[in-house]
Amino acid sequence: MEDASAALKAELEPFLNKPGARQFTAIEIEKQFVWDYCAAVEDGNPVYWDEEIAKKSRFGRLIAPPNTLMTLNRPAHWLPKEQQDKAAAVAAALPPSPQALAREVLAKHGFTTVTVVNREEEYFEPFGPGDGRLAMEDRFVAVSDIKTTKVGPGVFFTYEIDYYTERDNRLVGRARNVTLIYNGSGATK
Amino acid sequence: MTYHASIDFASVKEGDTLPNISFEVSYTTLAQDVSGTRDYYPIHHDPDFAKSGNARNIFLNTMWYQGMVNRFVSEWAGYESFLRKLSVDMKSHGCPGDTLTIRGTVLATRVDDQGRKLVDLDVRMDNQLQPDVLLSKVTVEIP
Repeated sequence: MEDASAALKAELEPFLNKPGARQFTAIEIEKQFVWDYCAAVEDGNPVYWDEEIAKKSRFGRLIAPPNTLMTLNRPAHWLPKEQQDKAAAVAAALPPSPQALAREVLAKHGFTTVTVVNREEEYFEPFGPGDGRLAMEDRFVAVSDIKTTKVGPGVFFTYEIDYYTERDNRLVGRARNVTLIYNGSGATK
Repeated sequence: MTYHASIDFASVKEGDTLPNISFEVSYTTLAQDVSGTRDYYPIHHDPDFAKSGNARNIFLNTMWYQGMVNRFVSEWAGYESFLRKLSVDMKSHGCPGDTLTIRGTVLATRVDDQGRKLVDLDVRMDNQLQPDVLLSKVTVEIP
């Protein structure tokens, strides 16, 4: 398996640490979005809800919980056909992400099923209503040797996403995702 | 709930425990989770779909747990605190009817090379069936 791991890593190397084109979230960061998220966990933190307190705080304005990065990144659940076409055209015009190309290499080797093992987020600056959308830039940063796991042979594939505000282009957060990408048909019984 | 601005960093010590939160998960919680996190995957709102995948019932998603950990930490640290790092590792599902207990311990306090006062925390959730259904590591900045 050592030779196979080395060969796979050599195939993936051209895509390592190469950022993909920036893609924007489907929605802007707005007060109602922040409040709906906070309501789900009954979070009454005044810097998310109360303009007066937020203005006097060290943040100087209403902010969003920094951990809303993943939620902001969710696609729209429903769009009119014209908007779907428009979004698809924008996506199609982007060059393929090196991270996605690396996954295609893995798929060629039968590693197609993805499960998230760990996600760690780091927050550099507050963001909130008025910052527009978030732009995301991904890159593949590490791959393990081929492992034998209960669900089948696979690799631990790590990628990062940097998040920038649309207004002022500020780097506000980074997510590091460790995934297991495996061949489910090779599962041990 | 009264919200305070900030805990006194100098008073925080390794081994300190945070005040627990108890949270009853209901079907309404799941509806608010779906709406608040914009996650319409049926495993979070369709019991038949969730059970067909061997889950006990529909269950809370990662983003809900991230939000609950942030709430738990900031209610202790104060609204002037700011989360710097967060990881969550889910070990079991949180379903309607469950009672979650959120608890936390201070692992370390430190001042980084930018002069920021940081507290590293171990945060865990238990339910009525088992401990440690969620494990989380957090770093929060205190002003």
